[in-house]
Amino acid sequence: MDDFGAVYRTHYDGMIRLAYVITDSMATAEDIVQEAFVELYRRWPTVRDPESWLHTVVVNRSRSWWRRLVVARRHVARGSPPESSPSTEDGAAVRQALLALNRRQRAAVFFRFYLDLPEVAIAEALGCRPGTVKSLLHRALATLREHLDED
Amino acid sequence: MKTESQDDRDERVRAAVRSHIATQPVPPPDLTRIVARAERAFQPRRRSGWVAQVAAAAVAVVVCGTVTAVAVTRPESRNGLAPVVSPDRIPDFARLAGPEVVWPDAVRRLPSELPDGSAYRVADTTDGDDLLVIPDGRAAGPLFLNPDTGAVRAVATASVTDGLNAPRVTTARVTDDRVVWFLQGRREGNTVREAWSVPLAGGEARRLADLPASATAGRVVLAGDAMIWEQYGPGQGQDDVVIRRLPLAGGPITDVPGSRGYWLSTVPGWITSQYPGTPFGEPERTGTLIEVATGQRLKWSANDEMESTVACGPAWCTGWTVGGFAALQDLNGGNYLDLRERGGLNPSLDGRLAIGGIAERWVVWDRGSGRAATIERESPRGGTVGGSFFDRYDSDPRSPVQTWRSPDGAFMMLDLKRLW
Repeated sequence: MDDFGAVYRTHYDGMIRLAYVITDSMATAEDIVQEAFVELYRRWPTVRDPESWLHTVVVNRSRSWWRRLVVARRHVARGSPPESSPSTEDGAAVRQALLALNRRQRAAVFFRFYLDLPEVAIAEALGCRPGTVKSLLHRALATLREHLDED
Repeated sequence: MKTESQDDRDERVRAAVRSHIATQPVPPPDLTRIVARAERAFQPRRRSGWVAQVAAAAVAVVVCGTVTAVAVTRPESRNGLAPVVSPDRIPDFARLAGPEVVWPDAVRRLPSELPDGSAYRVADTTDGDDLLVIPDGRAAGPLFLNPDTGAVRAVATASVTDGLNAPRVTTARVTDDRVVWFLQGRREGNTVREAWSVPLAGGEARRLADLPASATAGRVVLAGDAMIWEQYGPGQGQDDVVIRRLPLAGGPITDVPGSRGYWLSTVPGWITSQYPGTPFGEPERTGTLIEVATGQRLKWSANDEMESTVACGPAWCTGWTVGGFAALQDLNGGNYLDLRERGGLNPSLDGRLAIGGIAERWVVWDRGSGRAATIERESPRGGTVGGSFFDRYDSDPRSPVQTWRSPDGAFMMLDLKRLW
């Protein structure tokens, strides 16, 4: 398990930031990344490329979290106690610009701009073709430019 | 006047995004917590820090629990235990006594260590006084421990130990007439994983099988006349798993027929189509439980008020309300009950027991009698070998015992088979 510890230490920070970019909630990101590493620990003998595996799992779980939030909000509308939701107290321009992207675009932006991954690796993490990644990034950059140039 | 080029503007945007992401404060990593969670009972996690809070809870024991009447119907009994569940008897979780008060005959004080000074964990109980324990560290087999005298008796014989180096026991169970255990070690320089068996009455140990890595890497439970465990595939999909089976009488290891996509439930012997962690996609709203020994299949469906995945045993399910409170329901979704307390419970031991953390207390609740107790643990302290070893294994709902270190430092055990 020494290897697992090394992978955890190497990728923990990046995975948290990835989940944060998609969910806009650091608490949720911490939850998602913890679950991802617990799952990786259980599957450790069979996972050949932990970094790619983590990218895929964190992206999928972050997107699932959004779907569950929709369900929760439906219940809130019926009078149940409110579930935690992405905080909005920080009005930083970049953050608002990121929120203007869809979740897939945010993931692509993180992989390309922050981790500097090639399009092939991003496509693998997002489960799409490299051409789709190129398109995602092109549109994301246009949206970011539009929002940030306003400021 | 020089105007900014498109490339410069794009790079400025990229730099701003990079900087924004890089400057977000990240919570500190906690590898110990990850490993502890992976090795403990596997249950869906609701929110940051919940498990740690429950594990760390040191709550004062108050007085014996009162019982609140709730108007719900009584389900049919299962597995020869009648009635399995008395859903009209819900304890007051804020006023629970300790297990030594509620079930004095089932609580035992254990030696802090084995005679050789090593730590250990309780793997199973016997019909008599002896416990089956697994020493921490190198051991070729489990030991019988008499907790009153502290005397131990080795189970492994020369057939096991000859040529075996660096052995470690990963699982041990008492069946009707024998002891079965899995071990990992080295023979002639090669890593080996083996299943062994010895009659309870004594005799030479017999090797049942060479095991795959999956048999010694995760949980293993008894299912009728076989030991079963999960074997994961290389993917990350939540259905990329199959249940493997080793007959206790000997014979090849095979897949349990129809078990692809199934996981061990928290009730030994039952497997479930429910993924036990946070779901990859939408929470499952329906599913199937199978009793491996008999092939009995039970369908379940989640009540609409259950916000996330529910966890089912053969008699009832647990889950969470949208407000984060623990809730219960029957397999068909009926008899929904919001416990109005944070935490989560696992069906355990034929589905009659509910074990878990409720309102920051570790609770054992016999849903057959309605009696419940809270286990008050010593606050976690680092550095003690015995303590850390126990802390890792004391709360698995699949275990036939609950073990803990009491506030006065004593190792204690609750024998779940002696609650009724």
